[in-house]
Amino acid sequence: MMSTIARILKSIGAFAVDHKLAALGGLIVITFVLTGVFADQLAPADPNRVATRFSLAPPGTPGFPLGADNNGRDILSRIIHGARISLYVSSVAVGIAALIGVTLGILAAWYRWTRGPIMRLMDVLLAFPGIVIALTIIAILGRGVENVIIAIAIYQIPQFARLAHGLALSVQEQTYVEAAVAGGESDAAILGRYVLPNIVAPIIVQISLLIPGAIMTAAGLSFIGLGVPPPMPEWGAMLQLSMTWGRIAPHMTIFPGLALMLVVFGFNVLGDGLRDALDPRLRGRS
Amino acid sequence: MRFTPSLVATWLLVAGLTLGSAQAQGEPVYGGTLNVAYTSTSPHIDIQATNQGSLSETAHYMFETLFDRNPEGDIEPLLATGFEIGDDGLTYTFSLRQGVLFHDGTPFDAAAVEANFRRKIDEGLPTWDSIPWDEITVVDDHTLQVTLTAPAPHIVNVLSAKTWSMYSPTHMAAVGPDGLRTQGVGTGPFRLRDFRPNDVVHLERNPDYWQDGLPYLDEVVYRVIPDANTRAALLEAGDIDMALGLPVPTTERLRLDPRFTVHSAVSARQYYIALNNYLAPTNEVEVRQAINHAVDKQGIINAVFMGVGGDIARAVYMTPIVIGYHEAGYYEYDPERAEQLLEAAGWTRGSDGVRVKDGQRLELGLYTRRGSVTGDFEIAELVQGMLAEVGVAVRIELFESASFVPNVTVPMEESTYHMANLTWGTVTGDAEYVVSTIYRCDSAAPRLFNRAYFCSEEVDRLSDLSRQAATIEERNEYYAQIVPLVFAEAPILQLFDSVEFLAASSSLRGLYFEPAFSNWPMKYGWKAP
Amino acid sequence: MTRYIIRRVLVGIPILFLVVTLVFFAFRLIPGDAARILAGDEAPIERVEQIRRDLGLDRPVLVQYANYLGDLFRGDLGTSFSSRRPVTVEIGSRFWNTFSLALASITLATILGIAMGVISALYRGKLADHVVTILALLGISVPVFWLGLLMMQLFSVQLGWLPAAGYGTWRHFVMPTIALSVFSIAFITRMTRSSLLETIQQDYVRTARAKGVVERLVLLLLSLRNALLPVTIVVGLRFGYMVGGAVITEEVFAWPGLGRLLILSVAQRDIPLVQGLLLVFATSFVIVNLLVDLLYAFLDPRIRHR
Repeated sequence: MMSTIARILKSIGAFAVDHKLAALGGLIVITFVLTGVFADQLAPADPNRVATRFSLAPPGTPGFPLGADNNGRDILSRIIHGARISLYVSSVAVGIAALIGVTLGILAAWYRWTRGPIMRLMDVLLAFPGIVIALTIIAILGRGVENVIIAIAIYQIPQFARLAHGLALSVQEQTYVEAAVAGGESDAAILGRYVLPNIVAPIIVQISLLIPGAIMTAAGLSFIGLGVPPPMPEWGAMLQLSMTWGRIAPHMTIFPGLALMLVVFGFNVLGDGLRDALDPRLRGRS
Repeated sequence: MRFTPSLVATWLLVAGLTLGSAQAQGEPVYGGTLNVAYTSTSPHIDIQATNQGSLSETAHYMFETLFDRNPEGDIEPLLATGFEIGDDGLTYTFSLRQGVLFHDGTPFDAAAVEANFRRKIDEGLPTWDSIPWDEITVVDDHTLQVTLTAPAPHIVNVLSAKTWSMYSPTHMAAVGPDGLRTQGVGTGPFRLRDFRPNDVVHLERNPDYWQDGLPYLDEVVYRVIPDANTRAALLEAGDIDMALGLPVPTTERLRLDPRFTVHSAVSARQYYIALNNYLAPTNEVEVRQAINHAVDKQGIINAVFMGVGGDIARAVYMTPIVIGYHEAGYYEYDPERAEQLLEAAGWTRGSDGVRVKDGQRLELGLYTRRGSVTGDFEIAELVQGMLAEVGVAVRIELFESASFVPNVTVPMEESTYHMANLTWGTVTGDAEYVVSTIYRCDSAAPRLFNRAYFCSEEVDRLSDLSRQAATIEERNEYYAQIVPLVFAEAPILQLFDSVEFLAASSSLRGLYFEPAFSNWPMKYGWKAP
Repeated sequence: MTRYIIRRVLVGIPILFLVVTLVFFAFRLIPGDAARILAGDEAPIERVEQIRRDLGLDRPVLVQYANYLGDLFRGDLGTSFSSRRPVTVEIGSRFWNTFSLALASITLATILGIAMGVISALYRGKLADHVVTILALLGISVPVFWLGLLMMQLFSVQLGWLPAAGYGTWRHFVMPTIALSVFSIAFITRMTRSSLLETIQQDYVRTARAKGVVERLVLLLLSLRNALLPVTIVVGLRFGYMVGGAVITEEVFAWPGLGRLLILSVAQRDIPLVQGLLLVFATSFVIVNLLVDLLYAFLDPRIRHR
């Protein structure tokens, strides 16, 4: 047991040495995740408590280290709680997209007759930029955390379906799969036992590469007023408010955007590093 | 009774109006084009079919009404020259101005007025039922007689609203209701050159205007620029002369620039949040009063309008410039009093701080939109925060302006909101509009605008009596009884009376504010060199 | 080659048909009553009913669908609910605004992206490479709306150099073009770099023998043609997405383009307009993809001779 942990730690250490930037990304991501999980403990104030007399208080005002917004709410506390929302929305959305996308991709590869309909549907989704699909889905379903998650998941499904489809096709040609077919094993058993495990690594890399996109889209939706419901301290929603107030209170613009960029940057460099380390086949693609 | 302005209730002088004709403005200058950027979409120009202030902004230039509100806020004759009321109080005889032509050359006469009245009535267009019509008779070319089924001393107030504009009857017959959406022929100082929906209203000087020497400007161009930052940028670049609907932080910045003047004026508009009087728990009067005590109205004015906003509302829906206004007061900001009211009503704090009664949490759905009027969304967030302090949980439901209206315009049995973030404009400038369309039981949405579903037999009874009153003064006595009754029930969260802002080039002269619709017409204005 | 082109065109048509169908039925699920929206806040219920009949919204969905397809076939995208003008006119009047912005952005992104990619590959492992790599990483990480707000704050509010928003002169183009292209610049840089390095590896011995920077540059340029094949695809893909993907950039800078029209029409429940816009986005994406495919086929002899 100890030796397993030691081995894992050692390989993480080796990875960090080889990929300094990726290690920095990992650090940022871990900080982000911890901030999100322990937001209640970390935030100095209630993120939604309004106090009109502190409206637009500048950074450094006692009790408001990063200043207050137009409603007198503590920006630091809102950023900390915003991490929780971004973490939740992006991980659930990408998780759902991976689940559905990988299933569709494997099905399309195994049952040839499903390939046409599934891949045509994916082509339709791929004909739009993600934000347009998300916006359309929000237009149909309405606002709300769940709907933002669905909107993001739907536009990311083809990313997983296409990858899983290609990977599954090449795995299917392997002799061990052919042997299993000849041995009369059921489809479900073959897909679950041989196909899926052999395509997991690149799927994980794909997840890490799509999470920053999900975070950005969620923030973008909130920014145009179609994201999570108020007064949730979503970073994009905070930036939306700064469209009106940022000119006289720049701290409302600077800090939430900085947090957003830092986290996306962290995921991007970590994803790059993971791709290089785990999946040489994907190297060079971006 | 001969008509004179003083006999009709006089509009209070609009406080805070920075430009008035009394002020020295220099000699008028002819020529030039006025460029304006305004907020709202303008799907059509058929002002008879709407009550929306955004659409009447350009109607002032094209169309004229029988009576008008002048820059001082008084009602005076425009296309009418006066009227007489018969001894029974039910017959109104209007004398009409002679020598007036519509833009298409059709003469303005009694038959034209009749055709316009008929259209309003037949198509059920806004405020047609504010007047208890019986018969309309053309007496001669320039005399029209109207008989009513009940007295209507407020008739000139109603007829001065822009939605009672006079169209050319020839034009109406030629293009039909659909054509009127895009083509307008009136008697105004400007005629329509080009209209593109939601884009531009382009007007040019009417050389045959009946008032000699007017107007001064050659052309007027209103462009729809939905984005506030763009409107400000266009104004600062000198591309436009006036920008409507700028956010307060922007107007405060422009105030420091001598090239621009920020005009402000109180209007007939009030910010309020309807409390659902039908749905539990806002059907309890204690809960509604507690909500009113728990909200710091001055704090909201300070935060949302940087302290330059309006005054705390002192009557439900009515602002002081409304004819028939009666002050009722407001619920003082007093969170402790709010908590006492809730405790007394059986709402006690639960473990998470939210109050509970009989297993039901005191959690309210607040429906709102964003950017529909200045500060709407900010107000919702502040109210949510303030109510949380007294143990009332508020769930904000943010709607697109498109889906907001259908969701707060339903029969009360189908209503799902406890609170709806709205503004109210008394478009006729007369309290009758408030009493008839938002106070009464039969004014409940979706038929009319009573989205609080407020209903009081006593208010209805007094309102019925007021409709028999022969004079404005007599009628107002009933209103003075009605307003406190409504206030005591706290049907809404009473917020504040709106102050409207306009940022304009400092060279504009003759600009005035029309408080009922919150418009800033420049029809008789000019640009100083 | 001709057969290839025909096949590619034929693949695009069912996609567009699926788009039309999906979008049409999806929007029948929307809550919110277009007639009430059009009638306005204060209209009586009778007027709402009248408008509903006028717009044909009271007819069965399948009838509405059949009518829509028939009109579409004649090039009629319907009439906007809110402005009562043909959807083709509404879109046509703004298409150029978005297209010109997308064109400016993709041009900037291609030039800067390839240049930075080449520099990075040329000085592989050196300071310049590291700087470009970090810049590219920041470029794909920066939220476009935040970058837009910061630029506005600096160049418009503080310095007063550029107009904060709107459309008109070249000065209006500067900030939106940068905002819209930053992600693509970074993307193309990374693509160019890795593609070049891969190509060069195949020429490894010759490269190794080349001593000076000048010689290496010459070799690089020789490999560029092959290396740029995948870059062509990326450029095309980014451009195809830019026509619809400028939504947020247009929102920040109040650019009167198709993206803002989409947000506005979604807000107004202007279903014909939303359908038209989505169709235009999908069509431009399919066309750009077709052109990229053809260009690729032209550049790659293996496909050209098929």
